[in-house]
Amino acid sequence: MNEKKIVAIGDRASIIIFNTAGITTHPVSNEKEAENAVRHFATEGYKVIFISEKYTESLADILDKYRESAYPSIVPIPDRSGAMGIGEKKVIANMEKAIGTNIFDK
Amino acid sequence: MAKRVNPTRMELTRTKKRLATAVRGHKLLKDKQDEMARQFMIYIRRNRELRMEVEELLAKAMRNTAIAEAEMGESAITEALLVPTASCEAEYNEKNIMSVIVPEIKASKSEGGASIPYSTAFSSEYLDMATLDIQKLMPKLMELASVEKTCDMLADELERTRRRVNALEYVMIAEMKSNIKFITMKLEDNERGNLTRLMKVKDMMKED
Repeated sequence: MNEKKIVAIGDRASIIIFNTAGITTHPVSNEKEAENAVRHFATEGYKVIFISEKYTESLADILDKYRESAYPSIVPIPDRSGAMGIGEKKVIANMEKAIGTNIFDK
Repeated sequence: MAKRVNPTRMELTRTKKRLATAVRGHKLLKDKQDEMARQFMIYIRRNRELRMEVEELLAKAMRNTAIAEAEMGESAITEALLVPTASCEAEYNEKNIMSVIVPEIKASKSEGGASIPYSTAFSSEYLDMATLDIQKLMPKLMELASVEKTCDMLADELERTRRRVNALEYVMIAEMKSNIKFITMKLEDNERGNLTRLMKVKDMMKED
Protein backbone atom coordinates (compact mmCIF):
# COMPACT_ATOMS: atom_id res chain seq x y z
CA MET A 1 0.00 0.00 0.00
CA ASN A 2 1.38 3.32 -1.05
CA GLU A 3 1.56 5.93 1.62
CA LYS A 4 -0.80 8.80 1.09
CA LYS A 5 0.68 11.61 -0.89
CA ILE A 6 -2.23 13.92 -1.46
CA VAL A 7 -3.88 16.25 0.99
CA ALA A 8 -6.77 18.69 0.82
CA ILE A 9 -6.75 21.76 3.05
CA GLY A 10 -9.83 23.89 3.56
CA ASP A 11 -12.89 24.21 5.73
CA ARG A 12 -14.26 20.93 6.97
CA ALA A 13 -17.55 21.00 5.14
CA SER A 14 -15.97 21.67 1.78
CA ILE A 15 -13.23 19.08 1.83
CA ILE A 16 -14.85 16.23 3.73
CA ILE A 17 -15.95 14.67 0.45
CA PHE A 18 -12.30 14.14 -0.51
CA ASN A 19 -12.17 11.43 2.15
CA THR A 20 -14.01 9.03 -0.10
CA ALA A 21 -11.45 9.41 -2.84
CA GLY A 22 -8.62 8.40 -0.57
CA ILE A 23 -7.22 11.88 -0.10
CA THR A 24 -6.06 12.98 3.32
CA THR A 25 -8.20 15.85 4.52
CA HIS A 26 -7.01 18.51 6.88
CA PRO A 27 -9.73 20.91 8.02
CA VAL A 28 -8.61 24.41 8.91
CA SER A 29 -10.63 27.42 9.98
CA ASN A 30 -8.34 30.39 9.46
CA GLU A 31 -5.31 31.59 7.48
CA LYS A 32 -2.84 30.84 10.24
CA GLU A 33 -3.92 27.23 10.45
CA ALA A 34 -3.86 26.91 6.68
CA GLU A 35 -0.34 28.33 6.58
CA ASN A 36 0.89 25.89 9.20
CA ALA A 37 -0.82 23.02 7.41
CA VAL A 38 0.82 23.88 4.08
CA ARG A 39 4.25 24.08 5.68
CA HIS A 40 3.69 20.85 7.54
CA PHE A 41 2.51 18.80 4.57
CA ALA A 42 5.13 20.24 2.24
CA THR A 43 7.94 19.20 4.56
CA GLU A 44 6.30 15.82 5.14
CA GLY A 45 6.82 15.06 1.47
CA TYR A 46 3.26 15.25 0.24
CA LYS A 47 3.20 15.48 -3.54
CA VAL A 48 -0.06 17.28 -4.16
CA ILE A 49 -1.70 19.82 -1.87
CA PHE A 50 -5.19 21.01 -2.71
CA ILE A 51 -6.01 24.20 -0.90
CA SER A 52 -9.21 26.22 -0.71
CA GLU A 53 -9.05 29.28 -2.93
CA LYS A 54 -9.92 31.68 -0.15
CA TYR A 55 -6.65 30.92 1.63
CA THR A 56 -4.36 31.20 -1.37
CA GLU A 57 -4.20 34.99 -1.48
CA SER A 58 -3.02 35.44 2.07
CA LEU A 59 -0.58 32.57 1.65
CA ALA A 60 0.92 33.89 -1.58
CA ASP A 61 4.40 34.23 -0.04
CA ILE A 62 4.56 30.62 1.06
CA LEU A 63 3.04 29.28 -2.12
CA ASP A 64 5.63 31.21 -4.15
CA LYS A 65 8.35 29.45 -2.20
CA TYR A 66 7.21 26.10 -3.54
CA ARG A 67 6.97 27.26 -7.16
CA GLU A 68 10.58 26.41 -7.87
CA SER A 69 10.58 22.66 -7.28
CA ALA A 70 8.56 20.01 -9.09
CA TYR A 71 6.89 18.81 -5.89
CA PRO A 72 4.75 19.62 -4.00
CA SER A 73 2.22 20.83 -6.50
CA ILE A 74 -0.10 23.21 -4.70
CA VAL A 75 -3.45 23.56 -6.43
CA PRO A 76 -6.13 26.05 -5.45
CA ILE A 77 -9.60 24.49 -5.50
CA PRO A 78 -12.99 26.11 -5.11
CA ASP A 79 -14.96 25.58 -1.93
CA ARG A 80 -18.66 24.88 -1.49
CA SER A 81 -19.65 28.43 -2.36
CA GLY A 82 -18.27 27.95 -5.86
CA ALA A 83 -15.22 29.16 -7.75
CA MET A 84 -13.97 32.64 -6.92
CA GLY A 85 -12.00 32.83 -10.14
CA ILE A 86 -8.64 32.67 -8.37
CA GLY A 87 -7.57 29.58 -10.27
CA GLU A 88 -8.50 31.22 -13.53
CA LYS A 89 -6.61 34.34 -12.49
CA LYS A 90 -3.56 32.22 -11.81
CA VAL A 91 -3.70 30.74 -15.30
CA ILE A 92 -3.91 34.21 -16.82
CA ALA A 93 -1.12 35.55 -14.59
CA ASN A 94 1.15 32.72 -15.76
CA MET A 95 0.24 33.44 -19.33
CA GLU A 96 1.06 37.13 -19.00
CA LYS A 97 4.29 36.35 -17.26
CA ALA A 98 5.43 33.93 -19.94
CA ILE A 99 4.12 35.41 -23.17
CA GLY A 100 3.64 39.01 -22.12
CA THR A 101 -0.02 39.18 -23.00
CA ASN A 102 -3.24 37.34 -22.36
CA ILE A 103 -4.21 35.63 -25.60
CA PHE A 104 -7.33 34.04 -24.15
CA ASP A 105 -9.03 37.45 -24.28
CA LYS A 106 -11.00 37.62 -27.43
CA MET B 1 27.46 55.76 -22.59
CA ALA B 2 29.58 52.67 -22.59
CA LYS B 3 32.74 52.84 -20.55
CA ARG B 4 35.82 53.62 -22.60
CA VAL B 5 38.10 50.76 -23.47
CA ASN B 6 41.77 50.58 -24.36
CA PRO B 7 42.03 51.21 -28.08
CA THR B 8 44.56 48.45 -28.68
CA ARG B 9 44.64 45.59 -31.14
CA MET B 10 44.66 43.10 -28.30
CA GLU B 11 41.50 44.56 -26.84
CA LEU B 12 39.95 44.51 -30.30
CA THR B 13 40.63 40.81 -30.82
CA ARG B 14 39.38 40.00 -27.36
CA THR B 15 36.16 41.95 -27.81
CA LYS B 16 35.54 40.34 -31.19
CA LYS B 17 35.88 36.89 -29.65
CA ARG B 18 33.51 37.79 -26.85
CA LEU B 19 31.05 39.17 -29.36
CA ALA B 20 31.08 35.92 -31.33
CA THR B 21 30.37 33.95 -28.14
CA ALA B 22 27.62 36.33 -27.09
CA VAL B 23 25.94 36.10 -30.50
CA ARG B 24 26.01 32.32 -30.39
CA GLY B 25 24.66 32.30 -26.83
CA HIS B 26 21.95 34.70 -27.84
CA LYS B 27 20.87 32.48 -30.70
CA LEU B 28 20.76 29.39 -28.49
CA LEU B 29 18.79 31.15 -25.78
CA LYS B 30 16.41 32.57 -28.33
CA ASP B 31 15.78 29.07 -29.70
CA LYS B 32 15.22 27.79 -26.19
CA GLN B 33 12.77 30.59 -25.53
CA ASP B 34 10.83 29.88 -28.72
CA GLU B 35 10.53 26.18 -28.02
CA MET B 36 9.56 26.79 -24.42
CA ALA B 37 6.88 29.25 -25.48
CA ARG B 38 5.49 26.62 -27.85
CA GLN B 39 5.37 23.98 -25.12
CA PHE B 40 3.96 26.48 -22.67
CA MET B 41 1.08 27.28 -24.99
CA ILE B 42 0.12 23.61 -25.13
CA TYR B 43 0.20 23.27 -21.37
CA ILE B 44 -1.55 26.52 -20.58
CA ARG B 45 -4.46 25.66 -22.89
CA ARG B 46 -4.83 22.27 -21.22
CA ASN B 47 -4.51 23.93 -17.84
CA ARG B 48 -7.35 26.30 -18.59
CA GLU B 49 -9.63 23.56 -19.91
CA LEU B 50 -8.95 21.33 -16.92
CA ARG B 51 -9.42 24.14 -14.47
CA MET B 52 -12.81 25.08 -15.82
CA GLU B 53 -13.93 21.46 -15.87
CA VAL B 54 -12.61 20.63 -12.43
CA GLU B 55 -13.89 23.80 -10.79
CA GLU B 56 -17.36 23.25 -12.08
CA LEU B 57 -17.58 19.59 -11.05
CA LEU B 58 -15.85 20.12 -7.75
CA ALA B 59 -18.12 22.96 -6.76
CA LYS B 60 -21.08 20.79 -7.70
CA ALA B 61 -19.83 17.89 -5.62
CA MET B 62 -19.25 20.18 -2.68
CA ARG B 63 -22.69 21.72 -3.00
CA ASN B 64 -24.20 18.23 -3.04
CA THR B 65 -22.22 17.36 0.07
CA ALA B 66 -23.55 20.47 1.74
CA ILE B 67 -27.12 19.48 0.92
CA ALA B 68 -26.45 15.95 2.15
CA GLU B 69 -25.02 17.33 5.35
CA ALA B 70 -28.11 19.43 5.87
CA GLU B 71 -30.26 16.34 5.43
CA MET B 72 -28.20 13.87 7.44
CA GLY B 73 -26.51 15.97 10.07
CA GLU B 74 -22.85 16.62 10.65
CA SER B 75 -21.95 13.56 12.69
CA ALA B 76 -23.74 11.14 10.37
CA ILE B 77 -21.96 12.47 7.32
CA THR B 78 -18.58 12.45 9.01
CA GLU B 79 -19.14 8.86 9.97
CA ALA B 80 -20.31 7.89 6.49
CA LEU B 81 -17.22 9.38 4.87
CA LEU B 82 -14.77 8.20 7.47
CA VAL B 83 -13.48 5.17 5.62
CA PRO B 84 -12.25 5.66 2.09
CA THR B 85 -12.97 2.89 -0.36
CA ALA B 86 -10.83 4.06 -3.18
CA SER B 87 -7.23 4.45 -2.34
CA CYS B 88 -5.85 7.18 -4.48
CA GLU B 89 -2.75 5.77 -6.04
CA ALA B 90 -0.65 7.63 -8.50
CA GLU B 91 2.78 7.56 -9.98
CA TYR B 92 4.88 10.59 -9.28
CA ASN B 93 7.57 11.11 -11.85
CA GLU B 94 9.56 14.01 -13.12
CA LYS B 95 9.90 15.15 -16.67
CA ASN B 96 12.41 17.38 -18.36
CA ILE B 97 11.03 20.12 -20.58
CA MET B 98 13.83 22.25 -22.01
CA SER B 99 15.88 21.59 -18.86
CA VAL B 100 13.04 22.52 -16.53
CA ILE B 101 12.23 19.62 -14.25
CA VAL B 102 8.46 19.42 -14.04
CA PRO B 103 6.23 16.94 -12.25
CA GLU B 104 4.39 14.22 -14.07
CA ILE B 105 1.59 12.60 -12.12
CA LYS B 106 -0.24 9.62 -13.49
CA ALA B 107 -3.27 8.49 -11.60
CA SER B 108 -3.43 4.74 -11.66
CA LYS B 109 -6.90 3.32 -11.62
CA SER B 110 -7.92 2.67 -8.06
CA GLU B 111 -8.92 -0.91 -7.47
CA GLY B 112 -12.62 -1.59 -7.20
CA GLY B 113 -13.51 1.45 -9.25
CA ALA B 114 -16.02 4.00 -8.11
CA SER B 115 -17.99 2.83 -5.14
CA ILE B 116 -19.85 4.08 -2.16
CA PRO B 117 -18.18 3.45 1.19
CA TYR B 118 -21.24 3.71 3.41
CA SER B 119 -24.60 2.05 3.74
CA THR B 120 -27.05 3.70 1.41
CA ALA B 121 -29.95 3.01 3.73
CA PHE B 122 -29.52 6.08 5.89
CA SER B 123 -27.66 8.41 3.63
CA SER B 124 -28.81 11.13 1.32
CA GLU B 125 -28.80 10.61 -2.43
CA TYR B 126 -26.88 13.86 -2.75
CA LEU B 127 -24.01 12.29 -0.90
CA ASP B 128 -23.98 9.40 -3.37
CA MET B 129 -23.79 11.81 -6.26
CA ALA B 130 -21.01 13.78 -4.64
CA THR B 131 -19.04 10.64 -3.84
CA LEU B 132 -19.28 9.22 -7.33
CA ASP B 133 -18.50 12.61 -8.87
CA ILE B 134 -15.39 13.11 -6.83
CA GLN B 135 -14.09 9.63 -7.57
CA LYS B 136 -14.63 10.18 -11.25
CA LEU B 137 -12.88 13.51 -10.98
CA MET B 138 -9.69 12.16 -9.43
CA PRO B 139 -7.70 11.51 -12.63
CA LYS B 140 -8.57 15.04 -13.79
CA LEU B 141 -7.51 16.50 -10.47
CA MET B 142 -4.20 14.70 -10.69
CA GLU B 143 -3.67 15.92 -14.21
CA LEU B 144 -4.54 19.45 -13.18
CA ALA B 145 -2.00 19.26 -10.36
CA SER B 146 0.79 18.31 -12.72
CA VAL B 147 -0.22 20.57 -15.61
CA GLU B 148 -0.67 23.60 -13.41
CA LYS B 149 2.67 23.10 -11.75
CA THR B 150 4.27 22.66 -15.16
CA CYS B 151 2.76 25.97 -16.27
CA ASP B 152 4.02 27.71 -13.13
CA MET B 153 7.54 26.47 -13.66
CA LEU B 154 7.61 27.08 -17.41
CA ALA B 155 6.29 30.61 -16.93
CA ASP B 156 9.06 31.39 -14.45
CA GLU B 157 11.72 29.89 -16.66
CA LEU B 158 10.39 31.67 -19.74
CA GLU B 159 10.54 35.00 -17.96
CA ARG B 160 14.11 34.35 -16.89
CA THR B 161 15.12 33.28 -20.39
CA ARG B 162 13.47 36.31 -21.93
CA ARG B 163 15.43 38.58 -19.62
CA ARG B 164 18.66 36.85 -20.54
CA VAL B 165 17.89 37.09 -24.24
CA ASN B 166 17.10 40.78 -23.93
CA ALA B 167 20.14 41.50 -21.80
CA LEU B 168 22.34 39.84 -24.38
CA GLU B 169 20.64 41.43 -27.35
CA TYR B 170 20.22 45.00 -26.16
CA VAL B 171 23.00 45.41 -23.62
CA MET B 172 25.97 43.10 -24.07
CA ILE B 173 25.98 42.69 -27.83
CA ALA B 174 25.17 46.35 -28.46
CA GLU B 175 27.91 47.47 -26.09
CA MET B 176 30.51 45.20 -27.61
CA LYS B 177 29.63 46.35 -31.11
CA SER B 178 30.05 49.98 -30.12
CA ASN B 179 33.35 49.16 -28.40
CA ILE B 180 34.64 47.42 -31.51
CA LYS B 181 33.65 50.42 -33.58
CA PHE B 182 35.36 52.77 -31.16
CA ILE B 183 38.59 50.76 -31.16
CA THR B 184 38.66 50.41 -34.94
CA MET B 185 38.12 54.12 -35.43
CA LYS B 186 40.75 55.01 -32.87
CA LEU B 187 43.25 52.63 -34.48
CA GLU B 188 42.54 54.03 -37.94
CA ASP B 189 42.91 57.53 -36.61
CA ASN B 190 46.27 56.67 -35.06
CA GLU B 191 47.33 55.11 -38.33
CA ARG B 192 46.40 58.26 -40.26
CA GLY B 193 48.23 60.40 -37.71
CA ASN B 194 51.29 58.23 -38.14
CA LEU B 195 51.14 58.46 -41.92
CA THR B 196 50.88 62.26 -42.01
CA ARG B 197 53.71 62.51 -39.52
CA LEU B 198 55.88 60.33 -41.75
CA MET B 199 55.01 62.41 -44.83
CA LYS B 200 55.77 65.59 -42.95
CA VAL B 201 59.14 64.24 -41.77
CA LYS B 202 59.94 63.13 -45.31
CA ASP B 203 59.18 66.66 -46.64
CA MET B 204 61.33 68.23 -43.94
CA MET B 205 64.19 65.91 -44.82
CA LYS B 206 63.83 66.81 -48.51
CA GLU B 207 64.03 70.54 -47.69
CA ASP B 208 67.30 70.07 -45.85
